[in-house]
Amino acid sequence: MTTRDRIRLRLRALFKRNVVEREMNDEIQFHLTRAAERLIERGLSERDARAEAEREFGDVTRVREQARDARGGWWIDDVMRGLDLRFAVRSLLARPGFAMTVMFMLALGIGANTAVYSVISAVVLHPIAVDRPDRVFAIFETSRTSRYEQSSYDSYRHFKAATQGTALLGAEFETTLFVGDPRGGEDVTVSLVTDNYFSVVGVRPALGRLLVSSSESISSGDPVAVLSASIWRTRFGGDSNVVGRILKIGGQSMTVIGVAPDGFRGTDLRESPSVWIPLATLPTFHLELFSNALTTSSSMRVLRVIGRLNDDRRLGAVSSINDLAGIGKAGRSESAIVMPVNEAAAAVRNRDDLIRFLGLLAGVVVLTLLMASLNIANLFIVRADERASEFGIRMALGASSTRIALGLVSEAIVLFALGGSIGVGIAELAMRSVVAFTLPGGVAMGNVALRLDWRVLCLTLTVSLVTAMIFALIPVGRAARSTVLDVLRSRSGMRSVMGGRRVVLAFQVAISLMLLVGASLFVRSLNVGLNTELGFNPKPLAAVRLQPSFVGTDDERVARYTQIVNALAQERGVISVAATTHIPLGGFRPLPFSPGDAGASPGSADQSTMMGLASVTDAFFDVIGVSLLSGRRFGEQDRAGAPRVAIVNETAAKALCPGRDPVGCQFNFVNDRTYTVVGIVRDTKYSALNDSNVPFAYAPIAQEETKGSVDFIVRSNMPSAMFSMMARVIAETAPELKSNRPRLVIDGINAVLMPQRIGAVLLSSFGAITLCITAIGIYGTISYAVTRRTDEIGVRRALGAQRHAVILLVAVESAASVAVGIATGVVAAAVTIRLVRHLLYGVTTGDGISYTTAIAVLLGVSVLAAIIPAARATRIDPARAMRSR
Amino acid sequence: MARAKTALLQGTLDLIVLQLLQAEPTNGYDLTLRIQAVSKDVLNVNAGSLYPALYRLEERGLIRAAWEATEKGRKAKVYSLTPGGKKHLTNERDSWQRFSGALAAILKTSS
Repeated sequence: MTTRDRIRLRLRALFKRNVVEREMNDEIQFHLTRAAERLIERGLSERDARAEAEREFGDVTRVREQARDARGGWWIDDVMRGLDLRFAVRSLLARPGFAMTVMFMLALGIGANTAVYSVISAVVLHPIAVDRPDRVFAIFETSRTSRYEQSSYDSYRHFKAATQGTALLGAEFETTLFVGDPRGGEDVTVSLVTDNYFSVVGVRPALGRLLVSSSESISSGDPVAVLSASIWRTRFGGDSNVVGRILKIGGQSMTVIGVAPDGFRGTDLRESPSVWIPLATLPTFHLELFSNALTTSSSMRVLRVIGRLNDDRRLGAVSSINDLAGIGKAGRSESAIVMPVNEAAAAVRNRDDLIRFLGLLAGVVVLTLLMASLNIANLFIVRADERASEFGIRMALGASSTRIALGLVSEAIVLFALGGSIGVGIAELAMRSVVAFTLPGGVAMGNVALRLDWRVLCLTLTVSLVTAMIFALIPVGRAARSTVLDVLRSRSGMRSVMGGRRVVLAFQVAISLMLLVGASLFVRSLNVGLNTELGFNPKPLAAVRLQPSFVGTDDERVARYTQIVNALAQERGVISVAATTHIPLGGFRPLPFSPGDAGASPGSADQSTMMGLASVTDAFFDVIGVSLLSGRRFGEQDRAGAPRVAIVNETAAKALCPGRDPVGCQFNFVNDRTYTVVGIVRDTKYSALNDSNVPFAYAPIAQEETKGSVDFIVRSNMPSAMFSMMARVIAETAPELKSNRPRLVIDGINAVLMPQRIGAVLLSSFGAITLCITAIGIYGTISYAVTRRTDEIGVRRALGAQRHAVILLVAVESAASVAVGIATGVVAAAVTIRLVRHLLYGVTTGDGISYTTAIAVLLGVSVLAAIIPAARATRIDPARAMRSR
Repeated sequence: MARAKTALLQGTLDLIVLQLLQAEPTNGYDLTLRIQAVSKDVLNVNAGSLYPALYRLEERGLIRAAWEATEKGRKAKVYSLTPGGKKHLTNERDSWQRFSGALAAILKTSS
């Protein structure tokens, strides 16, 4: 027989089991018939002959079994028969509590892991959908203050010249522009890109065409726009006729030429552009401050420079611009870093924070899964112990230990299949809900292409299955070794397993405590953050945004603002009203300013201070509640055409007018305009809660070219009741405009506190889950102790032991584990929380209140979990306990 | 059963089956009859051991099976030796003869 024949035979035995069985039956029947015929010839009746033939043949079933054994592949066959899923389901339904608990823990463990690792994979490993990402990179400049500065236009040109021939370099600049007409539209993120941008990232259009590489600088540009797939779907209903349509972008008419592919969301996870337009169109927008500064000031580091290697080289070895083209040797003070685009995409400045945060998350979910697995194993052991007599009887009746083990495996498979499916549901749900989150480093989950990672799912399922399986099968081995009589006579002790269970319980307590400490630290951070001294009171402030850039001249615009402000001030409930280009906590883009007047300091880049500038109406300081420290407020005289004046905060005063009386000192913006300081106000927080000492200046709105959006802020005792009134008043006063984005200023804090909020939510959730698991563990341990020691307790009760003595007796079973667990947990928390200390705000890592709270919660839950089964011990009837012996 | 029957020695059934099948391919039932006949009713092979043995030999590639019609029009599974089976039989027969010769010699001396 050739090997091929042999394989054929074996496969036949395995997969054509029916055919093989039938042939075997036929053969046995043939044998019996022939034997009977022979007996009939000897004179037996047909019935007797048949019976005698069967007797001679022996046990047909046994022959079949032996024949089956003789054939190959028998063990697979055996396994297939042993894995009786129907029996497993029936046996699980007999103990629904057990099944539900296991599935619940499994689903949580698997769901959490799948979701978290899918997020990590999406954010860290494959964030950017570009062609050959191993050749695409971003360039960052390194300065004294930051390792990862974006580039000035000057640097971009320099990089471009230096890398000529080795790489294709492009640049982009992201900003927010109003897309649509005044009566309907929205602020969206717009990326202004060099014409070669799409060649650099290497994406193909989903529709129409993308920008074509014609010029390499920002010198010319057609008013054309490329839409992102998401805005194309949401705003344009996926209409393929969108190509060729004229869109108003920032007030300019631009022709849609194409749609970017679905997966492409730009090269930075913080911002996902909805529209790409040529960088050359920049000067046509309201951003003149910008486009002037961009080409003249090397401090305007606002360009994100990206590039693609020309040849077959990979980025592996390239880590600095020197490697690319020796730029550093070209005699510049700053050096530049080249970074693979996938790394540059996710929180390049706060990458450590992001990685630590994701690491924390990964650790937390792995621990959760481990805990769940251990608990499942625990439950399996208890269950197997309960079923020891069932196994004994089945073995006495001839079931092999393999068969019993396979029965347990079948049950596990059913549980894991169900638990796993629920876990997938949980993962999907979790991933859908994290879309609103922003990770540390500003990674907006909405910008990440998030997909359920099936490899992770399989891995987590396998890990938990294997863990549980090992423990589930322990009792089978034990049962196989002990004789049937042993098993039947007494419930064979699982005492050796108890030691292991104690360790597991201590471990669970430790993890729960660690998570609870983390959760309380983050919750406290959040509270501190929400009550931070901001330098102003955001609570009574309501704001709506207007896009007035479409109306007439500067004078007309200012007149319109004044009208609206006055109209709003007439309304009931309004305490004061102001207009501003930048509301507090709304973020801002710093611009370079230098001390002295334009003549005195010839624009030396090194002396410039990056500073925020908001254009405001006079009442602004009353509205937000910031008092003037010295100098004067804006007045009628500060009109367009009059000398530019500014009110600066204390930090700006120190930076711009060191050692002088700030009132009356001057500073200028890119040699372009000079401001005279007329007043000083206190510092307020403008973007992040922990940004202290951010220089900031306010200028009268009448003197600024504010063609961009303007927010109207109303101070009221009922701020959230103001929105409809504000919309109505604006519609009446300025019918050609439309207000949008009604919001409470205090909501800005929520965005600012996002990392703390996520930390608090996640750690609290996982803390609760692990606490649940621990409680189940404690409950199980005590229940088990009560069951195991029923006789003893009965005797003690009969001898007059008090109830509390009995409770104490069994409660001690887990007390040591809980104590050891708490001690370990405190140490573990102290070590691990340090890793994420940057994410804590206003509390130290050793915050006593957090630790105390966590320990108190844990102890409370432990006592509860212990009391319930312990109380059962007190109800043991001594007489019955003794009798059952 | 009046006649003394001899229990089969471990491993000899395979040899018997192979030897008989070399003489003539046949089905399971006829094989039991033939064993009885050839051994002059000394060896009574139970169907319960014969069929597992047949399947085992088939599994090892020493014999092969085919369904053939009998004279009465029934279909019977007829086993025959494969080339590998022939070789195996020759080897086994030689070693068996050496073994039984040696055993006979030992038994003779000790009696």
